[in-house]
Amino acid sequence: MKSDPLRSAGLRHALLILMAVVVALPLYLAVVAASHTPQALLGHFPLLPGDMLLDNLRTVLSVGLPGTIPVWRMLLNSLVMALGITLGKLFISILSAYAVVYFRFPLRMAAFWLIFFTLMMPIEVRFFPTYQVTANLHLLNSYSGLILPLIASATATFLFRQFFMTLPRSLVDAARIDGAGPIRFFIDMVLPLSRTNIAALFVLVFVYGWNQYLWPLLTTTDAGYTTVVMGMQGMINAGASFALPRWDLIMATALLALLPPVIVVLLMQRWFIKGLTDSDK
Amino acid sequence: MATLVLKQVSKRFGDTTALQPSSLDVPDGEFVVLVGPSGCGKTTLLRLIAGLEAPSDGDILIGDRRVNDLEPSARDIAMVFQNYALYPHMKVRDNLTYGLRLRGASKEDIARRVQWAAGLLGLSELLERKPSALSGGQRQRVAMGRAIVREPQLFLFDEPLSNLDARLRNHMRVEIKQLHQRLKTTTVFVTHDQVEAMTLAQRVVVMNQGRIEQVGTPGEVYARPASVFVAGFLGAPGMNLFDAELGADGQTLHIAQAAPLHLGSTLNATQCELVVGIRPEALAPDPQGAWQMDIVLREALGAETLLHGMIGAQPCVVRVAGDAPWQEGQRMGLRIDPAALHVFDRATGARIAA
Repeated sequence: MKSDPLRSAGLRHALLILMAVVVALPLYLAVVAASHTPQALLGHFPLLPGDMLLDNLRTVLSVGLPGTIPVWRMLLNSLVMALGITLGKLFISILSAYAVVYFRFPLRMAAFWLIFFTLMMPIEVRFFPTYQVTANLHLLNSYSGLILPLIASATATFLFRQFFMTLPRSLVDAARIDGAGPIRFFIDMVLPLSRTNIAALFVLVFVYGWNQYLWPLLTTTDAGYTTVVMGMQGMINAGASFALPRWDLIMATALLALLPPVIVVLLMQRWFIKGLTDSDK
Repeated sequence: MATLVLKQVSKRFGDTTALQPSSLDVPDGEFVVLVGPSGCGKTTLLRLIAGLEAPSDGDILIGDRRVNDLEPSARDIAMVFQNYALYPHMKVRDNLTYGLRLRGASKEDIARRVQWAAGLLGLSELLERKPSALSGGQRQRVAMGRAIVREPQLFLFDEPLSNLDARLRNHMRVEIKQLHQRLKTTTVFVTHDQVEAMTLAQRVVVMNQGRIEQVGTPGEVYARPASVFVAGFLGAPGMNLFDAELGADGQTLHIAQAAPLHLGSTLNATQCELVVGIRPEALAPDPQGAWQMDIVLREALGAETLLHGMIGAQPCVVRVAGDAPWQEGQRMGLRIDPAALHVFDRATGARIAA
C-alpha cells in the first residue's frame, strides 16, 4: 500500500520524535524546576533550566527539608528495602518453583495453585492482616518489617516455574546418571540456565521494591526509616506550610529517586532483553 | 563389561501397566536392540535398567549385582538420550567431564579419558564449543562421547538417531556399530525403526503392548516370527497377512477370493481360524501362478521394485528384483512356495509350528 502515510520516513520520524517528547516532557520539567531558586518558580514557569541544579541536589542530599531526614538517608533506606525485597523474592521464588517442578511431594499441585491464586489479588488486599502480623512480631519501624512481607511472590514463582517446565526432562535424567543430586543439579544446571530470567526479574522486582509507597507509609512512623518515595510525599505536605513552596528541592529529590532504578535498568539491560526475548537454552 | 539380567521385571504407573513381567538375559558384550511401536514399553524398560524409574516388581542385575535400589549414578551405566540432553551452558569438554568431575576423578585421568574419547569420535576440534554451536550429528557424537568417557559397564541408547536426517542416521548407525566392535561394551539400544534394529543388533527384542514378543538374532526374528505382530512389524514392507481357514484335510488353507494354498504336510493346529503370512520377496512372479494380483501402485527403488496390489479384496505387496516390467493396472500371476508360508493362530496371534 503506497498510500500509507507511515511509509514515509519523515513522517515516521516525526511521530517517533513526538512520542519521545511526550514521554520526556515531565522529566524535563523536573530538571527545570530543580535547577532554579524557589522564587524563580513563582509566577511564570521558566522554560529553560537555571544554574541551581547542583546546589539544590547538594542541599537535599546533605540537609533535606526542614522536618525530614537528609535525602541520602532516604536513598539508603530505599536501597536496603529494594535490594532486600529483590534478593529475597528471587531466592524464595526460584526455590519454590524448583520444588514445585522437580519434586513429587504430597499436595504439590495444591501448593502450586495456592501460590497461583495469590496472583489474582492486589497486594493492598492483604495489607491489613499483614500489618497485624507485622505489628505482633514487633517488626514495625524496622528493615525486616519493610522487606519480609513483600518477599513472597506468586509472579516470580510462576515465571520460574514456566521456565523450568521448558527445560527438557532428559536434562535431569542425564544429570542423575552423571551423579548430580538435587542440590548439585540446582547449582550446576538450573541456576546457570536461569541467569537471564533472574536478571530480567531482578530489574522488574527492584523497580517494584523501590517504588513501594503504601507499605512503608503504613509500617514506619520513625522518620529514620523514611524511604525516598514516601519521603517526597512528606515533603509536599511539609512544603504547604512554608511561605514559599520548595518545589526546587522536591524536584531535585524526585530526580535523585529516579536515578537508582535507571542505573539498574541500564546495567541489566542486555540481560533483561535477553531474558524476555531469548529462548536460547 | 558386564552381563545384564532382568528377572520378571514389571512397571505400573497407577492403574496402567507400562511393562508386563519381562525377563531377559544379555551376555557380556552383546548388542541388544529393543524394538517396537511407540507405547510398547521399550523406553520404560530402558529407564528401569538405567534406574530413572523403579520397577514395580522383579529384579535387575548388572554384572551379577542387584541394582534395584541403586541410584542411576551408582549403577555404572551411561545413557544417550533421544534429544541428546547436552548441558547447554557448558562447553563440549565440560559436558564430557561433568560426570567424571562429580566422581572426583583426578585431573590427569580426566584429561586422558577426554583425549581418548574425543579422538575416537572426532571431537577434538569441538571441545571448546558450546552445544548450540554444533550440528545435529556433532551433538549426537558429543552425547556418545559423554557416555564413553565414563567407561561404563553398560551403554543405554534411547532412540539416539531419530532426530537426525536420513543420511546422517545411516552414517551414525555405522559409527555406533563400529564403536561397539571396538569397545565391546554390553549395549541396550531402543528404537522404533526396524531397519536400525536389524542392522545394529546381535539380538533383537521385539516388544508390543508392554510385553516382550520375541527375542532372537535378526535372522531368527525375520525368518521365524513368533507372532503375527512380529511378522507384520519387521521387514520393510512387513509381511503380507491373510485371514485363512484350515480345510478338513489339515493341509489346505482357504483364503477368501484367492486360490487355496496346499501345504506339503498336515498342520498341527487345534484351531481352524488362522492367519497366513507371506514375505513380499517370497511371492515369485509366474504367469502360471495360482494367485492373480491386480497391481495398484508401483514403487521403483532402484535395486528392487515394490508392487502393491489386490488379491481379491486383500492388499498384498510383492518385491521384485531390479526395474520390474509390470505397470499399474496390469494383472500379474504369483507362485507361492509352501515352505515360505508362516501360519499363525488368529485368536492368540502365536506362530503355529510348521
